[in-house]
Amino acid sequence: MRGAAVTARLASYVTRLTRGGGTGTGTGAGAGTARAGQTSIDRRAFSTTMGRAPYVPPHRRGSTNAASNASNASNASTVKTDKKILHLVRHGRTEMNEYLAANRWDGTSLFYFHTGN
Amino acid sequence: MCTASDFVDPLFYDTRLTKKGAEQAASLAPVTRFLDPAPEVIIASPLHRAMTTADLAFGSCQGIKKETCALMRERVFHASDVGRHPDAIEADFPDWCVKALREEHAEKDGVWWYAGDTDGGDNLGAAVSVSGVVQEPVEEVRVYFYLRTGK
Repeated sequence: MRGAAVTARLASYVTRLTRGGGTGTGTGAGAGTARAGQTSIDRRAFSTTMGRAPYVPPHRRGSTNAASNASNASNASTVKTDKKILHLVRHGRTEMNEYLAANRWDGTSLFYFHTGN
Repeated sequence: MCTASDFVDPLFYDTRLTKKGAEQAASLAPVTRFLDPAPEVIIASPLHRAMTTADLAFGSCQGIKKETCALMRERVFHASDVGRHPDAIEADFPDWCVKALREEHAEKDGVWWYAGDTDGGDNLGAAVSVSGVVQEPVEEVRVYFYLRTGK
């Protein structure tokens, strides 16, 4: 595996990639990954955040679409699939983050600098 | 606002989490503890900040394999994005698997981060633009996860 970086910053938000016979990306896919309602323990655990909206794992996020709800409900008992859930976690604040906050850097000029434009 | 030409890179090589950053990461532990299904593997960039965050965020999850993958790294903007040799990483994170990292970058003496083109060399302090080599790895990441989840 070569190549340089992908900006896969560990994120404080969560999204997922699902796989079912192939690769897929996005936050909307995932039929069959829905779960029944959260337990009280789940709700307590997922209320812990870093000052943002309560965290809900993607496979527990409900849909407002009635059809989807029906589908999810029917799938709730068949959660054993080959789909994988990818949780992305952004890294915590770093010394460099602090420095950048104090010394604002216009990252957009990076490309001008190197291309000579 | 600084531009790339007057910005001074503080040369925080492989920058570390601040106390606040560590607290942010640790605050996820009560969440990750109850993930259902439980994680099979934790994959992090070989950068210190990423691995430390993962350790803190998933500290309450026992028995989960932890692997580094250079595809997860950020592009090199500053010295803070320059990594360390796999031996140094292994010394700091003995419970992480760096085998693949070491093997896949052996021909570059363990240099897994972007170190500049062969003709231009590195250019720390002015930031290294790697826009041309950023997009391609996205597909590599997809392949990585496809293969990884197939194991």
